[in-house]
Amino acid sequence: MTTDPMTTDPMTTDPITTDPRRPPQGRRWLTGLIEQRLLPPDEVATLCVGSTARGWATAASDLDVYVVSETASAHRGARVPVPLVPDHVRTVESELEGRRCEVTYWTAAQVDQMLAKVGRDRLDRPDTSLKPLTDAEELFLERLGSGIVLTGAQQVAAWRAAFTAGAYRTFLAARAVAESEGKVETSRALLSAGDVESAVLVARLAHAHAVDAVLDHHGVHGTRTPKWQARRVRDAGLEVLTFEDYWTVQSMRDLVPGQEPRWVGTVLARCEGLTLAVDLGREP
Amino acid sequence: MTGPGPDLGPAGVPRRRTGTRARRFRGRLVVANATVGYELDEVGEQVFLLVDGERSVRDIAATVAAAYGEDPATVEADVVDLLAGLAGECLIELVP
Repeated sequence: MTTDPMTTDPMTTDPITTDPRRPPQGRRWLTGLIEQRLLPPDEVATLCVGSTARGWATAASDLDVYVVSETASAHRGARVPVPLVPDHVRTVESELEGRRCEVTYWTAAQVDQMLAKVGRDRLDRPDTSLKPLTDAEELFLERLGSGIVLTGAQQVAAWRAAFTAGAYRTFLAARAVAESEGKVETSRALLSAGDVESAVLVARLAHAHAVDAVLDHHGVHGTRTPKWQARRVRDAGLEVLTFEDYWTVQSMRDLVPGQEPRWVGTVLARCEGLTLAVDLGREP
Repeated sequence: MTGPGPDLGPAGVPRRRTGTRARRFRGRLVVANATVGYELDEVGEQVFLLVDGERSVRDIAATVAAAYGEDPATVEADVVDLLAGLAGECLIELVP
């Protein structure tokens, strides 16, 4: 390190305070990263991401950090392939304040490439897939929006603006709608074939996808981390998707033994109601 | 393109064909399969959403007529026309 990111951020001399959601430990985490030489000299931005950034962490949760630099990291760590240039990222495991910490190193060029993959211009291209991003890329962009900025506030703000102007939410909502529709069809077929138990389980999956579609449509992302779906539904507070209705289906608490086909029918109708609440040509 | 078949009358019970998708796009319901897509107006949407493999064409027409305060017989003819078109594009079919 030749510079101290705590004092050289272009936005302010105290960049950690620029994020109103920052936890009080933010400065200490940054200091810990610097002391462990985990920030490269050409670092552009550092974000605390994942459950900690969203305020959902438990005592057992990892601390996830994304570091973005101008060039590929020279740190030793696991090499994770990505369909970008450079063609990989590195992850380094460490410990901060007694918590396991995983630092993932990206480059600024990789961020730009990921944003370009979900640009609005991609929506009309015939060769565009419903899944233009790999899971790791999708997770990065989701976390870009929800992460707590430790350094590089100005650059992160620019990326976030590009993210918002792009079609990420439309891609994700369209994919979730398609996945829900496919499961609805499968569940109906299973019911017709007399496999009631499988029809029930697939109907529940269809509902989970339909819920993702509504959440993604409203910019509440997190498909890659399904364990947090209930949190996302509760936090979103959408009229079209109340937590009570959501939890009634996902917990299957209204499934009466012996009346599975009826339950499946109700859930599948609810799935369609949710997916048709997602206007793929118009963002809310 | 296959015809709607001789049974698509008021007593027929239509259902969606496997592979038929319904999406909301710019406020309208778009019904599509791998080869064709139909953009339905408000009444067409209501008709399509009532196609569930249980209601007859007559039931569907009666529900729509009641919603709009129209004559059921007139609505029934329109519903048959719409559903025949959708059946012709393999978007719906009759329950055997």
